[in-house]
Amino acid sequence: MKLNRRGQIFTIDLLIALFIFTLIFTSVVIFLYSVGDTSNPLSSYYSEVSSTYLSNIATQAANTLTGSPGYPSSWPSLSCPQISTLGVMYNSNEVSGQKLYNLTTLPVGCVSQLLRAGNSFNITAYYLNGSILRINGRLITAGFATPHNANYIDVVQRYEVLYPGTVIIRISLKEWI
Amino acid sequence: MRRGQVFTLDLLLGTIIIISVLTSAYLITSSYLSTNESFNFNTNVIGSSASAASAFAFVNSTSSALLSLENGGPTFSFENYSVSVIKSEITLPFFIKVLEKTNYPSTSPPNSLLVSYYSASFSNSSSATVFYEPLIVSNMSSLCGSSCNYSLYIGSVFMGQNTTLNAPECTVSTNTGASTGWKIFNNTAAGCVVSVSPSANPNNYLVKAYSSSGSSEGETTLHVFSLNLIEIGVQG
Repeated sequence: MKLNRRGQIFTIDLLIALFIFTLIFTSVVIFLYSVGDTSNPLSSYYSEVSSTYLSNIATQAANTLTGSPGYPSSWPSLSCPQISTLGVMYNSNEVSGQKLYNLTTLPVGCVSQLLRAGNSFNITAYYLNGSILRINGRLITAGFATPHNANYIDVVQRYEVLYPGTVIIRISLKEWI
Repeated sequence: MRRGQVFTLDLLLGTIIIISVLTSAYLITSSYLSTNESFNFNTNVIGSSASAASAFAFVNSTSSALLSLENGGPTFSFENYSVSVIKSEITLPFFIKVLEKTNYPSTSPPNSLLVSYYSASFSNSSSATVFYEPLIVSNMSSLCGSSCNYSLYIGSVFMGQNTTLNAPECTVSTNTGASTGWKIFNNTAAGCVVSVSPSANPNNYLVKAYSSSGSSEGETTLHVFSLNLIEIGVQG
């Protein structure tokens, strides 16, 4: 056995191998970081996490709104702190036009708080032909105007019959970031 | 010539293992998020479609269309009406069926197919999510004349649910006086309430309305024609 064999490991081959390994490893880490960073709008994780988050908020808010007449059911005559649950139903099958109207007169912050809808939402009621429902001359829309530059928008729709049973309307709840 | 020893199978294996672990972690997480997103999408579609089917069954115009069908009206009229409404609500391929109950007084669901319509792009019934909406086809003209402050009406009556007639007080009786199983409770706190048994035969009811002061407001006959079942399937 000759001593001159111990130095063979620190050769140009090792440098090349380490360089290749580091290059591949770094590339993979950067790739995973870029797609996995949920705060990076360009990553696919961001897209999926954001859409799931928006969908959950919008679905929950829509179910709250169309799931009950609210509590107390006479909430249109009450102030925001006196309202526990915001609902627009007249009975189990029909929406109250009066409550839809009052939904548009409540402060946006109150609607947001009661529906847990955050600060980027819009609720609008439409006829089936696509035009916005109008009650007592007022367009039935509440919340914020939908921005044109939102990164992601989730829309949850519920179809309901407007009391007293004459017309079907579509209640659309949008959430965006 | 041993200089090549460092660029060995070990290094290759190590690199492959590390990359495999990282890539697997990404793929598993991505798959989970995609599945979750798909689940949310389906939940959204089902929620929207369920409300669409419910609204379609409950709106007065559907009752009128079914009434026309029960009175011998053409099938295509009901089809045209249904498609015009449901296409505005549901963008996915769908089908609609209307079944009528014929085996009274059995408690089995309606069994006779009246109408069946499949949208052009509907291809597979087994993958469809189906919503069932039972309702009673009835007809009653308004009791109120020009002096009334309210209108007494009855829309779709759902099996197993109570429907309140929009009158402060009323009396209801069958024209034969026989018990049919389709009960109408008079003068409850909520007004006049119809409670429907799924096993009872259709019948006619004489409905008399009174104001809260007890003065007569009018009378009419509630014709209960049939118990129907609307099936709406959505292919997601």
